[in-house]
Amino acid sequence: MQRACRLLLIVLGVFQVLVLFLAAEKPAYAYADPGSGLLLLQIASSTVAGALFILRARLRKLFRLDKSKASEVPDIQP
Amino acid sequence: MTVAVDASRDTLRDTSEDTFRDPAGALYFDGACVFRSVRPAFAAATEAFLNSALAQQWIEQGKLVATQIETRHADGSLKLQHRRIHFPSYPWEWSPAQWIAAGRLTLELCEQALGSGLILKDATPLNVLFDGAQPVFVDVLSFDPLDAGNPIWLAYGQFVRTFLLPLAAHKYLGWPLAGALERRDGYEPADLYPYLPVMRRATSPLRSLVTIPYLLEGKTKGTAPTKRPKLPPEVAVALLRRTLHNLRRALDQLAPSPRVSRWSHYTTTASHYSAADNEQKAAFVERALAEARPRSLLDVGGNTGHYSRIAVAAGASVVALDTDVQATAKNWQTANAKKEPILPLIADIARPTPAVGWRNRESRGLLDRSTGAFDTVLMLGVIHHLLLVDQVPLPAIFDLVRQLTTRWALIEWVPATDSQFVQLCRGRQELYGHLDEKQFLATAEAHFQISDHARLPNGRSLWLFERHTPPEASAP
Repeated sequence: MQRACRLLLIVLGVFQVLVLFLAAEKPAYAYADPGSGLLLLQIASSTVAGALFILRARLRKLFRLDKSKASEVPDIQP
Repeated sequence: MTVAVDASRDTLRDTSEDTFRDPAGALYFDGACVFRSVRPAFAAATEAFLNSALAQQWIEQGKLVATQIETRHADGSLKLQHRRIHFPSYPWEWSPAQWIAAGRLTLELCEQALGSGLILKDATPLNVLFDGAQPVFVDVLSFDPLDAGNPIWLAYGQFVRTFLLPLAAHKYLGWPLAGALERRDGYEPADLYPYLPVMRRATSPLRSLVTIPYLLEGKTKGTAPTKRPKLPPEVAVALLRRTLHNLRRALDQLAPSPRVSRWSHYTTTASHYSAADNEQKAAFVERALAEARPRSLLDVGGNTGHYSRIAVAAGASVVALDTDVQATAKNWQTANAKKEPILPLIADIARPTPAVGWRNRESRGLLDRSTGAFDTVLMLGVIHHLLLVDQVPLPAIFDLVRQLTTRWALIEWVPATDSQFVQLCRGRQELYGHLDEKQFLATAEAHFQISDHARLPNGRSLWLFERHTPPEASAP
């Protein structure tokens, strides 16, 4: 049951980020050619990573693991 | 910058500008000075960036070229002046280690820029020059205000194409980095894919740099999304940092493994030089350079930089040319670590790097950049290669030396009896066997007078020549 919930959360997170990605407001101007395959890969990879970020932040908030940082997005810098 | 597409770019362009792709502005040269014009729509952001603590810190650290606002025009445009870098070089003249240093600097500046609400709008090695052995980012118009909430780095593709894929092709396929001369925008994943072994395609780092983008390209047929995604700004910045971190990791993975080449250990393995020969040669070079007091010296055939370092000790800034990648890489690594004013470049003086780009005017040729830039030329152990391997006549060699130096030339003469001369001659004694020191000096006399000389026990001789004509305006 717990695993199913977790899976659902991940799927919802991915869905949310995907929606945000698609709900773009205006066209982006690129001076450098953004490429096609490379751009799609970056979008796909950022979507998954973005979903995980949001999910992690939510889980932290949910379980109040760290009250002082509950509203912050975790820093992923190495 | 993404705020506007400047239609005037195509209609109002000053044809004297040397660069033209960036809608924000253009670079141009006026005599010894380097200027950049900034179009009105981009002036305020450029000025704010240049005055920011971040830009000032980078300039102090030598990571960004020193730049000042020269004029604020009535139409709102700006004229900037850059500090001139001693000798401009191009990626096709760099060793792999220099490519990696330039890539690291690009990623580092982009990463730090995020903290100040800025991002790099392009990411190509052409935005980096080497000041001595240190990489310097020179395109101050590359910093755009961050598009809050957008986690996509639009220059990602360009970084992969112009930094990572040439390095990958060099490391895994042995393609020379000098091939960048023909590829302004680098390689596409499809350029590498057919040549990569299956295992290489399936594993990191080429799986995500070549294979997946290549397969995705096939599916989308160029219909990539052109909309701006919107995420919470802090999530977008975290994702951008993650992207930069992944690129940095890929860059590190693509560093070529050190290899030993024919020339990379030449100074310790050259059997035609005894310890006494080496000692006397170094002593003469020291003495001659103490006389010449060079400010700017071109070391042709610089190898790992032994004599370049003697020139530095005499007060010179040095550009060291060599055709050998490993020797040049070694020279650069030493110079970079010790912060010496030595710029090692991979170049062949007998086939100098040509001018390339639109109308052959975007990137200057090696001889064009060198003319007037050096008061001293060092050619040690080179002349027999030019004579025998490149088959260039002596008078033509001295014509070139005269073009390369505004005053001094220090040249080593290698007699026909020398073991290296005999080896390179390979049975062509009839053609070259008659060349002797007398002819060498008689040819030199057309442009130079002898200022000093020394003979080594191995039969070679060293000559410090001074040009007949009075020195031209001092080198920049």
